[in-house]
Amino acid sequence: MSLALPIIIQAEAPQKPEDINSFIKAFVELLTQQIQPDAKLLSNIKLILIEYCTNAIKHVAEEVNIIQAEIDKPLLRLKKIDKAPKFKVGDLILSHDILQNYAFVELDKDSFQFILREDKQQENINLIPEHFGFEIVIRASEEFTYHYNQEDKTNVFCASLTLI
Amino acid sequence: MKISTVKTDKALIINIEEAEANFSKSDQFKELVFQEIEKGHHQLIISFKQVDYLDSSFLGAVVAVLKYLIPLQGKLVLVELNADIKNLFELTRLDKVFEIKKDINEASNIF
Repeated sequence: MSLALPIIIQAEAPQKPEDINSFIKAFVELLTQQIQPDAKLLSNIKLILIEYCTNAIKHVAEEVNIIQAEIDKPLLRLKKIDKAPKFKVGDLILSHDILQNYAFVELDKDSFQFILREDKQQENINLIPEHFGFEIVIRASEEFTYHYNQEDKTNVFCASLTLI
Repeated sequence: MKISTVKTDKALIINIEEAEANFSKSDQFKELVFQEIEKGHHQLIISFKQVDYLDSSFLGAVVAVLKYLIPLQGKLVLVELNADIKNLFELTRLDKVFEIKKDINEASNIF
């Protein structure tokens, strides 16, 4: 009997904005040695990684930030793991953008899922958001969740995609 | 943040002279484009030819430029987007909001 164990690729997130591009290229190169996503899936993977890197540098640059890909066929889980304080929905700036475009569904006391409210384009240009970080990850993945790991005090953001 | 501009008889072409269009440059980009608009350039073509990737903050800056132009009866066309940037606009449904054309020639035809 053979066991198909998940393959883990992980790296410390870049600490400077000018390093994001080279980080993404190197990470994707490692990833594509293990999987062969089609062009659309690969593009979605890159968009998620870009947002993870951006978030790491903008919000938790002083902390440990890990970008991880877990290949568990047929699933690919892209994770951002950091040691910053527990992420709370109430800590977000609840701008018009966030309230209008997506919601948070509590899964348990330490976890929630991000979901889009409505999948239609805003007709009024002035109501179109200017904050797209979470929205991009939600739209580029099939499921986007957050979990706080009490044991090692880590925040885990996880975007799941199905490998074709 | 580096941009270059070329004035044609129909529009002002703004070339983003950066491979990484990210949050560290988005505010400056917005200000530079706003300055051009304030000079009276209301017909704009923004070229992403040199850009490898666009992050959410820079995307927000591009949206802000469009919002600034609309009340002025201005027009904004985006050109030379690579496949990942095009995918970003499609995912966020912004391809329905922006005029996106293949290149400057194609963009010039709509002014």
